[in-house]
Amino acid sequence: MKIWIYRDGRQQGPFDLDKPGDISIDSTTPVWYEGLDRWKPAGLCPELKEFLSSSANGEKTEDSPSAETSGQSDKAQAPQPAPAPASAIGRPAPPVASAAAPAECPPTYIGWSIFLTICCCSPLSIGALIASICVVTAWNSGRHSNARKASQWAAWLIMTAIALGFLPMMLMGVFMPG
Amino acid sequence: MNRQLKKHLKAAAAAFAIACAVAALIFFYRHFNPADASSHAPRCILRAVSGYDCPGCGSQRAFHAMLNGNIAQAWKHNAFIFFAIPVALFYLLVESRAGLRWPRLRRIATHPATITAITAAIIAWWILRNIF
Repeated sequence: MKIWIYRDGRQQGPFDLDKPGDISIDSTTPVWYEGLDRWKPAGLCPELKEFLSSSANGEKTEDSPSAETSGQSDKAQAPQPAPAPASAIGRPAPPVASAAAPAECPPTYIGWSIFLTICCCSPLSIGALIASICVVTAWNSGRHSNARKASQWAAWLIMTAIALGFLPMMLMGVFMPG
Repeated sequence: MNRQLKKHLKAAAAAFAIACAVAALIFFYRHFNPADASSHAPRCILRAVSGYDCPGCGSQRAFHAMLNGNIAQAWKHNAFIFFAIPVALFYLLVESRAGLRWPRLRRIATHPATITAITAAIIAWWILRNIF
């Protein structure tokens, strides 16, 4: 999922929620992602609850002042989200278009796997098919980062199948025919 | 405009390269019999190592027979490719950008149950062809 944040007086993003290292937010940071009608403090977004709690454990040092006094700063910074929408209300429009693309399931490469089966690279291509089952299963249950990872696995298995199966086959045909 | 022209040129070059490769493969498999050692056709490693047929073994001989009009012989060498090639082409199309036009078909084709069935079919073919 892609999110935009309002921090240090300006809009930043898009960030990929699956790469939490890039994002430094706390519960008061105004955020926007597709599906929100306006900017909201991250603490009020149910989708970010898991992210906030995991990043609070991992990197408390990142935003220590707000982490200490998150209850107070909630109120203290409450007016701060207001300017954000005013200056950025027009801006979420382009993100809407580009954020629509990631809503697609990552490629499963099934066609390639089946082709490789014909080319006698079957063990690895069956592995790739199993990876593509994982892609779709993970995607359907909302674990999008797992789906992307499985998709990469499938791609790597297919490339390995070509390298370890197809090329030696050609060499064997040339140098050890019959 | 210029960028679009470049994109079209790239696509045309890719299409040309693929067409050349397919033509070369058709020429090779039509004129050379992969069963002959002198054809220097690729050989299956799994079969060389284990002695068992893999799901794809015989596909080269089948292509050779098919391109010379002998469908029955092709079926005997490897019946599986008659199923696998259309399915593979179908998936390449469905997973390309063109496939976005049929979201429902795409969803059915990439449903875990569908992929599991295909995987099971490949493994079943692999086992059965070595038994019979």
